[in-house]
Amino acid sequence: MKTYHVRYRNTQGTLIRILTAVQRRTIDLPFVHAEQDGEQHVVTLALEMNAKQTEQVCRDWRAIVDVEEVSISDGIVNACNASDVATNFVRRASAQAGAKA
Amino acid sequence: MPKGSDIVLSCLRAEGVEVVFGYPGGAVIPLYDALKDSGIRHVLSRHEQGAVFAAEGYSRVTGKVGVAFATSGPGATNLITGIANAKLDSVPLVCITGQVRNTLIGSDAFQEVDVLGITLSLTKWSRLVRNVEEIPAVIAEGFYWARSGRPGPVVIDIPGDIFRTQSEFSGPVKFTPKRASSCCAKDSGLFLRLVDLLNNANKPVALIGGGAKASGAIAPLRSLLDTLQVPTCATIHGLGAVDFAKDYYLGMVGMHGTRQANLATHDTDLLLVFGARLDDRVTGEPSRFAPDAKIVHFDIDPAQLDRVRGCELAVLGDLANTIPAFHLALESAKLPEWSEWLSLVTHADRATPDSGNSEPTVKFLDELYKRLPENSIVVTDVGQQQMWAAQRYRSANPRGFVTSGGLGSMGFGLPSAVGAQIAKPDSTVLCISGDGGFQMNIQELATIRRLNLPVKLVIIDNKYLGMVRQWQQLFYNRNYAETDLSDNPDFVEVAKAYRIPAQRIGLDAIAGSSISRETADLFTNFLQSSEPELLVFDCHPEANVFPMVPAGASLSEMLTEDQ
Repeated sequence: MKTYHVRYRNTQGTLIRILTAVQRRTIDLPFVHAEQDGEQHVVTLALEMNAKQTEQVCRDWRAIVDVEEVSISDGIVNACNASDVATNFVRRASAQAGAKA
Repeated sequence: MPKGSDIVLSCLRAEGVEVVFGYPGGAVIPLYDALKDSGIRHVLSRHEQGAVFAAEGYSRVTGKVGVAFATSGPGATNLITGIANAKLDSVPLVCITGQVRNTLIGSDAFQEVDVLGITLSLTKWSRLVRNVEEIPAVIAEGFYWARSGRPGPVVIDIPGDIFRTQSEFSGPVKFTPKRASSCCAKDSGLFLRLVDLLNNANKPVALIGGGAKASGAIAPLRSLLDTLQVPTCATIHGLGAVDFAKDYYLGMVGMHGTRQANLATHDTDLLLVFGARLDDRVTGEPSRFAPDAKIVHFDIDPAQLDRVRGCELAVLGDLANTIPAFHLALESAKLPEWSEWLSLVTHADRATPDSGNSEPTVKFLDELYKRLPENSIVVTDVGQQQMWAAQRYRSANPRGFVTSGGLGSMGFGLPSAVGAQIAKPDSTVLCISGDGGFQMNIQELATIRRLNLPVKLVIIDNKYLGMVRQWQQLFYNRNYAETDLSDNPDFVEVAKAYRIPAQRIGLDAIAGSSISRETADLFTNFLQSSEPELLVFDCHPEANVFPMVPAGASLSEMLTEDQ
């Protein structure tokens, strides 16, 4: 499982288009987190995809008019079930929030 | 002070819109009220699906953005099939839908549906307008995205109260994207690698898709193909991009492609794909498509690259730019001779075998085609007649063959022919439908009559849902479940009820090695009439379209009539 970061202009429906590119391929969405980042928004997704799916989904994301950037994080989330992944991200987000505070 | 509806129409005019297709309803009454002084022609369809298909027909023969209006709720949902059709066939389309007034949105009001939500996966871009001030920017951006890059459908949903709201208006605006809609391959090394691939290829094939036409790259493409002299085939949307008279042209590829095109594509070791997305109707079983080939894929849409088959080289960009760049790179290259390969794949007649039950239908189409004036437009519905019409198509008019290729929407032909005829009033528009598809938008006969559009309507009447019946015959032991349409109405009488002249001809009229003078005159008069007219051809009920690549088979595993 890898983490994907899609930076986008938060226009009507853009987040749904990003999610639909995943869901139409019946790929599970165990973790999704979207937040504002400066003038843009970033949605982070943890997804289990093979190489071909990754290529296709990333290309679909880039083809969305208001998507600015797509990146895949170096770190691979090793957890195999959704709850672990979610916990992992919540912890990370909490840690970041704590650090900012 | 102008109202929102005036601003909408003013912005449409600024985008070059001359004609819109639509159907009024409660939420768009203010928009229709403003039409009379707008300078924009409105074509009234008799169903919103008819309007959106007409807008697509208009767009496909002109290259301009097609525009459709519909009211909220059912008006908008009736557009859905047309929007999906435009998405899969890359047609620039802007649909403007009325919405319930702002204060009612989300209340399940009368004729309220979430149009934006419903159409998100079908549109390239969409907006629900929230106030009158943003109308100019939304329309400018919508048209920009509909046209730019890989063209596609856009939905702009406008609440009824915004149409009625007065506002200061300083004129239409231009939209400038924050990022380019598409990038163009500028890497000269890319083309050197491509030349290198060509130099090492023994059996190259070029495959032309609709993208070549959408990009306006026909002239540079034809010039490139003349230089390459490699066997060339086209998808159904690529028909007309290559002159059929060229020795290297093999015809249509795919499920019902010509034997030569399919075999060459299967055997090639280097496939140059220009603006085709390689869907399964083209590839057969994707994993067995061109199994020995390296693929070089020219496309403007990065989402299409590697979608079906991995490619050796991707040339991303507008074909109007990348094809000349490639051609330029060839100037200093000395390419191998492929005349032996060309001769091998073109030695046989390129036409589809004309044996069996389909022969009279094929002959009927040939007789019509050879009487069509140059630059005529052939519009088809979906099914067997579509494939026969495509197989026999010989014109080099790049925008002369209009069909629903990606979505395969029955009912497309008749309304789309309306749009094509309005766009090209001086061209002959021949609409070929089956008896099933014709009835899916039969109400548009009223539009044709009202506007006296001289569309030439043909029904290939086999009294079956023919293509499905063919599959049932070949793969389901002739269990013709719910495909028998023998209780069809009398189409001649139906047409006459719409005050459209109509006649029926039988198989006997086309029998023999040559048609009678009487039949020849009938065809000529039919095509030359200044009135709309319907010709119903009684097709053999069990006529089949061959060759046929069965589902899951490779292009080399075609079924033919004699099997």
